Amino acid sequence: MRKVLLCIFALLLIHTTLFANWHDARSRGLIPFWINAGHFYTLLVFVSGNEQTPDTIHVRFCDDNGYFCSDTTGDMFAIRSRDMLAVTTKRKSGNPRLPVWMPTTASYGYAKFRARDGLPIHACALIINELSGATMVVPAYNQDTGF
Amino acid sequence: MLTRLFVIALALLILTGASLADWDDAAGRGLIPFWINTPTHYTVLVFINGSEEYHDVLHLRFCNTEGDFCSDTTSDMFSIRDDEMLMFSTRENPPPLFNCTHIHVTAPHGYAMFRPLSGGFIHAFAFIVNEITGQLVTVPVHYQDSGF
Repeated sequence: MRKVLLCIFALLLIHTTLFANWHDARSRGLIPFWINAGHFYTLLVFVSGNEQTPDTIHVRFCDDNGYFCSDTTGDMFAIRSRDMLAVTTKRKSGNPRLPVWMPTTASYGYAKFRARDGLPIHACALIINELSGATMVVPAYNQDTGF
Repeated sequence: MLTRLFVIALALLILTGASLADWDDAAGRGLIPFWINTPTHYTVLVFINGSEEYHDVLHLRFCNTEGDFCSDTTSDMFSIRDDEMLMFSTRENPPPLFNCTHIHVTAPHGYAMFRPLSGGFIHAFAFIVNEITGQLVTVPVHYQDSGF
């Protein structure tokens, strides 16, 4: 009986750590992205404000109707304590300094993100015009607050 | 007989609440400046429904610097579905990449007031666009009932 209980407990633990997904996340935020075309692209920046514990971030881009327009199978990123994670809508074109590329099929919309353990993750979006060099900073909002 | 009357009264009450709810009935209120509605500058207002289950109704009115309405107040009601994003522009024919609804504004600058009917999770951003330089400025939105 004890062995069975131990097995169930171990399975539960494995299930929680390995198969925790989009729906299991504890905190939710959103932020617009803009014009994934030509000389414009968006950079999403996540900074872990927690100095001791890592977390997992899921990022999904939606079009203006709310439909996912990015790959939902590869949306999970580990963010270590005090780590900064950047995700871009622009494909790496010989520029090694560009961060993780998330291909999106819509030219604008908004990005939803979820932090699995609900630790203090800070987020903002930078919308960049490569021609003029102009950059716009957009703050992220908690999905469960608002007007 | 009494039961029927009660049911009819209840239905009317629900209908009145749902269909005739207007600007004054809104549960959430916010405001944001708009700037320079001229050929080279215009403002784009973005609203995102953070709720994944409920839709809401948005009212949007632009005011001049003296607080008088400077946009059409009879057609200011827009439904926003769950997870949807709505955009409004003070420019008549915004570039195709901005799929905006044009709101005709008679003042060159001032501020926009908005009210969601049910007070759900509506998030708002404003972008002031300079068409010549391509520069964009983000303006944060404030809750109307908070402040200094």
